[in-house]
Amino acid sequence: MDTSKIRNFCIIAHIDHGKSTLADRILEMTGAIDRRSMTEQVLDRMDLERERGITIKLKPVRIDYDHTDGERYVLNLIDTPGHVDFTYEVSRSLAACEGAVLVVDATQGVQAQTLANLYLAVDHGLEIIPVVNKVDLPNAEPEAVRAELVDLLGVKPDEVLMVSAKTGLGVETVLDAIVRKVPPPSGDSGGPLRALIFDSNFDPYRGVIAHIRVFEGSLAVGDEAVMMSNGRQYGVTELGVFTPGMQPVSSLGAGEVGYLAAQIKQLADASVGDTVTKVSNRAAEPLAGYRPAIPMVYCGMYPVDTSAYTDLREALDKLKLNDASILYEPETSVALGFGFRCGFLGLLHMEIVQERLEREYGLELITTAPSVVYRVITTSQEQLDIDNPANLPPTNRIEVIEEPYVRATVFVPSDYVGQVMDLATERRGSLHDLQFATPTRVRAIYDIPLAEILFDFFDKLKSRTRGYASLDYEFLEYRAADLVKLDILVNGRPVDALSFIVHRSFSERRGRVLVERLRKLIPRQLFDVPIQAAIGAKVVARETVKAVRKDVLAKCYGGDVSRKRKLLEKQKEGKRRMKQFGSVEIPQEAFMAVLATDED
Amino acid sequence: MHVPFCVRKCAYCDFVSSPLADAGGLVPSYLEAVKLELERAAPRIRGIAPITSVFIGGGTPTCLPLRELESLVAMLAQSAAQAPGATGEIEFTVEANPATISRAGLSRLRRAGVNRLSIGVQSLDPRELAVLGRVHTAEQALSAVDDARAAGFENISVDLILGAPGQTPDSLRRTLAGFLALDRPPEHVSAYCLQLETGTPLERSVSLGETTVPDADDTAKLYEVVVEALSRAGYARYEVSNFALGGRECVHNLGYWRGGMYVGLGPAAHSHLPSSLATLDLGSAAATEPMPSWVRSWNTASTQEYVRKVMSRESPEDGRETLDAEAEARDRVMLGLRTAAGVDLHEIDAECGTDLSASLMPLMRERQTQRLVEIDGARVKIAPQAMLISNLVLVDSLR
Repeated sequence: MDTSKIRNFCIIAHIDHGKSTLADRILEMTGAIDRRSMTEQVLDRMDLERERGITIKLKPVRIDYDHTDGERYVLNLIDTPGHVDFTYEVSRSLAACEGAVLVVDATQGVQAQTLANLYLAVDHGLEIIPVVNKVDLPNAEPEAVRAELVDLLGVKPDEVLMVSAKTGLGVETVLDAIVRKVPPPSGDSGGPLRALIFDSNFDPYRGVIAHIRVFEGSLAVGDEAVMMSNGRQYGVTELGVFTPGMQPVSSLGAGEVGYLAAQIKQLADASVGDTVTKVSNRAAEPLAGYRPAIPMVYCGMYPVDTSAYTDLREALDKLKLNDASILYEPETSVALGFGFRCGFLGLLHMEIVQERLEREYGLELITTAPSVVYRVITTSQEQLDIDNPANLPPTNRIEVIEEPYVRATVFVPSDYVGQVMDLATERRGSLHDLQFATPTRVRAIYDIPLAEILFDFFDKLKSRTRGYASLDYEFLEYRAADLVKLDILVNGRPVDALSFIVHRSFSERRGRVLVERLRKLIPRQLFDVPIQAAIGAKVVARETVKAVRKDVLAKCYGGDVSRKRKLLEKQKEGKRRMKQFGSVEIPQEAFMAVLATDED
Repeated sequence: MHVPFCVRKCAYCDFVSSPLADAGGLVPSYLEAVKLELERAAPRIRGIAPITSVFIGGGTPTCLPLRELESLVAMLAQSAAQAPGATGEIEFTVEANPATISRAGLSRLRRAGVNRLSIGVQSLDPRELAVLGRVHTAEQALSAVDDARAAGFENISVDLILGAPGQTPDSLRRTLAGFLALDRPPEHVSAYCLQLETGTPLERSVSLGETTVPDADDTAKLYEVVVEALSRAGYARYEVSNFALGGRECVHNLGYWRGGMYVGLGPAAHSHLPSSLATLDLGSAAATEPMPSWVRSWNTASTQEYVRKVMSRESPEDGRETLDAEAEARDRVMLGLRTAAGVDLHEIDAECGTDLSASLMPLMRERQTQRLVEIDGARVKIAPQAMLISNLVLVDSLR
C-alpha cells in the first residue's frame, strides 16, 4: 500500500468530552458503518462501556476516506480510554499513531486529562489537531475554549476546529485536517520487519489476536513471525484489519494497522509492547516498548458461596486472557475463606472487573476494601511489599513503612481553589505547583498518598467544587509515613478482611466512622454484638449492635400463606449472602465500609 | 367469604376492598355472584366436611345492607350444616366495624346463625384512630361490645393495632384498660403489629417523613405491654398475635395454622385443598394425579372481574400453586410454629407422608441451644420469650 495515503491517528480527550461520539460520527460519515447498523458508540463494544459511557479497551478501526482532493485515503483510527486508570493504555495507542485529534468540551474547557493526554501525545511527537466539541450546546463558550487552546498549543485561532460531534457539524473539517496535517507514516515496506504490538485480545479459536502497527517491512500470511522479546516463532495464520469487524487481508505493509493471529496460546507470549519481526527479514533492534502496567490497587475477592472458588479462578483466568493488567493470587482469610488477592490499575478498573465477574460469569462476590501496596522495611532489613493490610508485620518488627505517592493534577475554576487546597491538605497532600492555566482556571499539582485518593477523594473533589474540578494523577514515588494498622473486632474477634492501614493522625477518627457505619450494616443478632476498632491492643472506638427485638410476621391468615412464605424466603436468601463469622452474620457491604469517610 | 366493600379505606389498609361510595353499584351483582359461587362450591364443601367454622371477613361485611348480609349468613350456615359429619356448634364469625352495627342489627345476625363477632377496634385513642383513618370513635367501639352482648353474643373478639403513629406504651395501656374494665370483656383479642404496606397512604406519608411510626424496638415494647396486660387478665397467647380466655381460641384461624382445608368464596378469597378437591371444577385431571399433593388457589382480586366470571359460568380462580407433600409439610411447620402449641413433626410427617423431621430436628436442636425453641419429643414450639423473633426459626421450615 502507498504509505502516502495512510493516516494513523487517535482521539484524545478528558472523560465525557465527546471522544467516542466523534469517533462514531467519523465512522458514519465515511460510510465505515451505515446509519442503520449504527448503535451509539460503536467502538465501545463491552456492554459495560456502553452503560457507563466510557471507553476501557482501546481498539483500532480502518476507514476508507474519499477526500475532496479526489484521492482515497486509509485512515486508521485508534480509540483511547478516557479514564485516569487507563492512562497507560492511552500511551500504548499513541505509539501507533502519527497524529492526535485533541477534543475539548466547549462547555468545560481544558481539563486535567486533556492536559495529561496532550503531554503524552507531544512526548510521542504526534501532530495535534485541536477540536472544540459540543459548540451547539446552549451553555457552550466556544470562543473562550478556542482561546485556551490557542494559548496552550501556540496555534492560530483558525486552526482550532469548531465541531458538534452529536449533530455532525464540522466533522468534515476534522477529516480534512487529518489528511492535510497528520504526516503519513515514514517506514519502508521493503526493509526488515518491525511491528509493534499495541494491544491484544484472546479468541478461543484463533488464539491471541495481536493488534499491530507495522513500522517497517511487511508481513504476509504464511510468514514465520518472531517475537523479539523472547525469540519465539509462530507461523502467521491470519492477518487482517478492523473495519471495525475483523476483515482478513493477505499482507500488512509499513504504516498499516491491523491484527495478527498465529495460534499463540497465551497473551504473555505476544505481550503488549513487544516487537514482531520475521525469520525471512529479521530486524536487528526492537522498537521502543512500554513499561509494563503496574497494578496500583489491590483488593480481596471472595465467592459468597465458598464452593464457587474454582469458578472464580476460571473466570479470572478468562478475564486475564483479554486484560493482562489484572493480577491475582490465591489468598485465605479467616473471615472469608478462600479467595484471591487481585491487583488493578485503579478503582474504576477494579469495579469493572468485579462487575464483569458478577455479570458475565454469574458469580456472587465479596470484595474487600481496596488497598495500595505498602513497602515495609523490617528490623532485620528485609523489604516486604504488603498488598493486604492483614499481612502487615507486628509493629515491633517494622522499622519503616512506606506508601506510594502520586502526583495529582487538579484543574479547577479559581473560585474553588480554596476548597481544593483544603481537601488536599486534609488528605496529607503537599503542594507542588499552583498556577493559572487560563485567566479563570487554576492548575494545582499536589504530591499526595495514593491511599488518600482511593479514599473517596474524587467524589469529595467533585462535590466540593460542584463538579467543576478534574483530576489526573501518576505514580510518583514511595515515601515513609507514620502508618498504623487498624483492626476491627466483631464480637471480640478481629475480622482480618476489615483491617486497614491508615495514617496515625487519622486512625481514631476513621476508626470511629467505620465502627459507626458497621453498626448500621451488621444485622442485629440474638445478643448484643460489640464492634471495636483497635490499634494493636488499644481500642480506639466502640459501638454495639443491639440484640434483635422484633423479627416476626405479625399477621398470617388463610389468604396470606404464599406471600408470607415468600417474605421468609427473601429473608433466608439475604442471610445466605452474608458471611457467617463465628455466631455473627456480616453482610457483603460491610467489607467495603472501610471506604466511608469522616465527612457528611 | 370475602366481602370487598367498606365505608372508607383506612390509611394502612392494602386489603381488597372498595368504599361503598365508589363501588356501591357493584353490591347487588357481587351478592348474586357470591351466592352462585357458593352453590357451585358445594362439592368442595362436602369434600372438606365436617365443617368446623365459617368466617365472613372483609372489607367490612357489616357495611352490606342488613337483609343481604342476613341472607348470606343463612345460606352459609345451611351449606355448612348440610355438609356431612357436622357435630356440635360450628363457629360462625362475622367481622364488624363499630360504626356499621346497631344492637337490633346484631340481634338479627345472631338469630341468622352468627355466633362470634370480630370487632375492628384498633385503638381507643382518638388521635390514633384519626391518623389510622378509622371511621368510628372510641365510644362507638366500646358500645359495639355492649351491643353485641345485648344481642346475645357470647364470643367476641376485638382487633387492636400495635405501632400506630403516636402510640405509646401508656396510650396502649389505656386502650387495653378500656376493654378490660367492661362488665364482660371480650373473650378474644388479636393484637397485630402495624405493617406499612407499599402504596397505602400511611406508607407514603411515612416515607415522605410527614408521619412517624414507632420503630421495631418501640413496637416490641408495645407488644410486651399487650402480652403482660392480657396475661394478667387471664388471656392465654395461643398464637403470635392472638389471645383468648379459656376455650375461646378462634377455631377458624387455628384451622389456617394447622394446615386445615378451606374453601374461599368471593374476590381475592383463598382456598387450601387437596388437589383431588381443588380440581373438582376443572374436569377429571385429579384422577391422573400420580402423587398426593395440595393446592393453594386464589380468586381474582377485581370484584368486577369476579362478577363477570362467575356470571358467565367461568371459574373466578386467578392463580394457584401446587404443593407436593414435602412443600405442604413445610408450610404446616411454618404455620404451626406460629401457635403456642407448636408443631409435632412426627404428626405432620404422618399426615403428609414425608420425612421432614429427619432433616428439621437437627436444625431445631440448634435453635434450642439458642433458646429460640422448646422441644418435647417430636413437638417443637417457639420459646415464649422468642415469639417476637420467630422468623429466625421460621426460615428453617423453608426448603
